[in-house]
Amino acid sequence: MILNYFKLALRVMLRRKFFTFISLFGISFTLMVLMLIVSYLNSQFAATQPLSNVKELVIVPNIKLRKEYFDSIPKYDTTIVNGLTKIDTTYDVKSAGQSNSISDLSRRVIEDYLFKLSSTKLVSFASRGNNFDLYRNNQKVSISVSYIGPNYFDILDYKILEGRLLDENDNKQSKHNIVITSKLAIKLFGKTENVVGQSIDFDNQDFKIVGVVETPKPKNRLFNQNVFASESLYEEGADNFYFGNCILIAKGPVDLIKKDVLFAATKIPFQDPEKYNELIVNPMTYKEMFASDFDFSEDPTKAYNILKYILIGILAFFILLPLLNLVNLNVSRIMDRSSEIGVRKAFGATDNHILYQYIFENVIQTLLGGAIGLIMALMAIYYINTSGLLNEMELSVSPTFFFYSLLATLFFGLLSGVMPAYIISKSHIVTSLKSKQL
Amino acid sequence: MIQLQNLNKVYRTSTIETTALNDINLSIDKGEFLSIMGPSGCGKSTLLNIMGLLDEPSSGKLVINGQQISDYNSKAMAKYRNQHLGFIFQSFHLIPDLSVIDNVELPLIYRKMSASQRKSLAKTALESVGLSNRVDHYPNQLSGGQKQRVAIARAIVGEPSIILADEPTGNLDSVMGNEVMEILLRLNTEKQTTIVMVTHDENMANMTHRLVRLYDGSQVQ
Ligand SMILES: Nc1ncnc2c1ncn2[C@@H]1O[C@H](COP(=O)(O)OP(=O)(O)OP(=O)(O)O)[C@@H](O)[C@H]1O
Ligand SMILES: [Mg+2]
Repeated sequence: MILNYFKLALRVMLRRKFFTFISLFGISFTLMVLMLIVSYLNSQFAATQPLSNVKELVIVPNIKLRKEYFDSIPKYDTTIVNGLTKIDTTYDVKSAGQSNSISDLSRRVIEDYLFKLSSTKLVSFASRGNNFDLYRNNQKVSISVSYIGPNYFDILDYKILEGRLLDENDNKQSKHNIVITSKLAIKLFGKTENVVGQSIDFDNQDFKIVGVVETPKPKNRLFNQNVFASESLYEEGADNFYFGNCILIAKGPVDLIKKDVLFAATKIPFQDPEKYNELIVNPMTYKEMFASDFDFSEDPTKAYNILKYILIGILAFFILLPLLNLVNLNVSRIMDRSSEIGVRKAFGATDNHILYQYIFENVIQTLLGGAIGLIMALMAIYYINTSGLLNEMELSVSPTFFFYSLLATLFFGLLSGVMPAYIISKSHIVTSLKSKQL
Repeated sequence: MIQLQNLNKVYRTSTIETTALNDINLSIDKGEFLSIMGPSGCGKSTLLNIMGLLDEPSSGKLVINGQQISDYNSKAMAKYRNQHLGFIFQSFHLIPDLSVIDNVELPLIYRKMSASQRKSLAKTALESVGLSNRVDHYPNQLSGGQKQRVAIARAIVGEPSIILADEPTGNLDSVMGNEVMEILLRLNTEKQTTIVMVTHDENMANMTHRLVRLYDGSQVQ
């Protein structure tokens, strides 16, 4: 029976070539875009190296100092007391504005106030990448050097391609050892093998490469460096107590860590209450960090939720339009075959037989569209990754990607097929038989 | 075998009411070959559709094999059609996307039956209408007479006890019409299949056991 339906589905598609072309075009294009979105989300958020711990990761990217100015606005009310007019004055206190300064954290604040968190399993920090230009074979190569605290590589588990990661010894003895990413290795040496042992010069010093790690797929402030060096080599300008160049990363139960951080932050002293009267430290998860870049809200959880709903909205809209179009096409195609439905019912098909048959046909068609969409998506991903089109961002293709792509395809097929199939399965036999003569 | 008692069918739209059948009483025996005649619009197809459980009467009783059909739900009706009824239509109603053999197999698809068994039954049915050499053709590659013979094969493949034919020769020339008529007569004598046939052709009606005439929804003979 399935085989019969399958043969019929192919035959129907072949016989109505123009219709098939139009629907397949719509399906495959929509699914391609969906797959690209899946691939993007997958490359940004998948719990793969170096983000295997992403579910336990808390980041404190910055600190904000705020001063709020208040104005008292007098309000005059006339009331009558004992037959005499009396003027009542009240004051409304209104925020007249605020000044904010926001920046990466200083290492001192991190180490002195935010490191002692009882709920964390591991805690570390990294400086934002410092940029230097190297000259290699008469070509300028920009590097971005990040100094990292102990445990950094235990929280972010970079994949080692060659050599080793930095360890306690490197840090304690302030060794001029560095780890570089694979992309930088290729830029500098044209390869990722036999790079360990080579030296590069920056900041007027000589650094020895001890390891090469795979360049992470996501691009954000957690991954803005291509050289890692030990924090003991890091000198921070001592002029500002709060502001520096560092972000804190911690691993553990995220909700507890967030609470811990917020509590620890209350212990950070106010150095100059004249200039500010509020000090805000926002611990956030990886997803929330991603969302907080969009400035929807100061609260990272809120920002994440807003971003999520916007994305869902866009996605729903993007799916809905082609879906409605497809439903429309499907209805007219099925109506075209309504005398077939009459005949099938006359010879014993139940409403459900008809329903399943048309859903099945639609799923077959959608799967075909999905396969075409997949090929187009893979080509687009290959192009994006090799051309560096999207700011060196890399899209990933993984089993998760295939799984969600298949899911999206089946979902699309069911959604666009169920309604038309249901309508047609309920049609009256005699009316169907009369409709259009076979 | 089939009993119609005080059967009425009224089509109602918001503006008009059409009485398609008016108090029909009819009893058809097992193995009988009955023909129905009457002018266009007198309700012949409506009557046949009600007998075939394709349409419901507005009032009255339909009893088949002692079973009152109004008790059936739509699933039970589908099953009944599948196992006991075979239809032949004036305009053949073959499914254009299916090959001849797949068209003939159609009623068997809705029975639990293996593909090989379906194939062999369908081939036998096609042989009995003289079309075993057209198995893999598609309907648009056949002449009208051949199409109707495929439709007959489809109607008889499940060995139904009743065949309902609505002007089976209406779209055919007399030679092909006679061929179709011969097949029906043979089926009736060899397998004792009960046949109810709507026709406009007096000669063909005369070849059947009994003739019922309708006029304006009422039985006149
Ligand atoms: N769905 C419907 N709605 C309203 N009236 C209908 C409907 N179907 C049939 N009729 C009416 O019922 C009457 C009987 O129709 P029916 O199709 O049974 O006629 P018929 O005897 O088969 O005619 P013909 O010989 O032309 O096939 C006609 O007057 C027709 O207009
Ligand atoms: Mg008719």
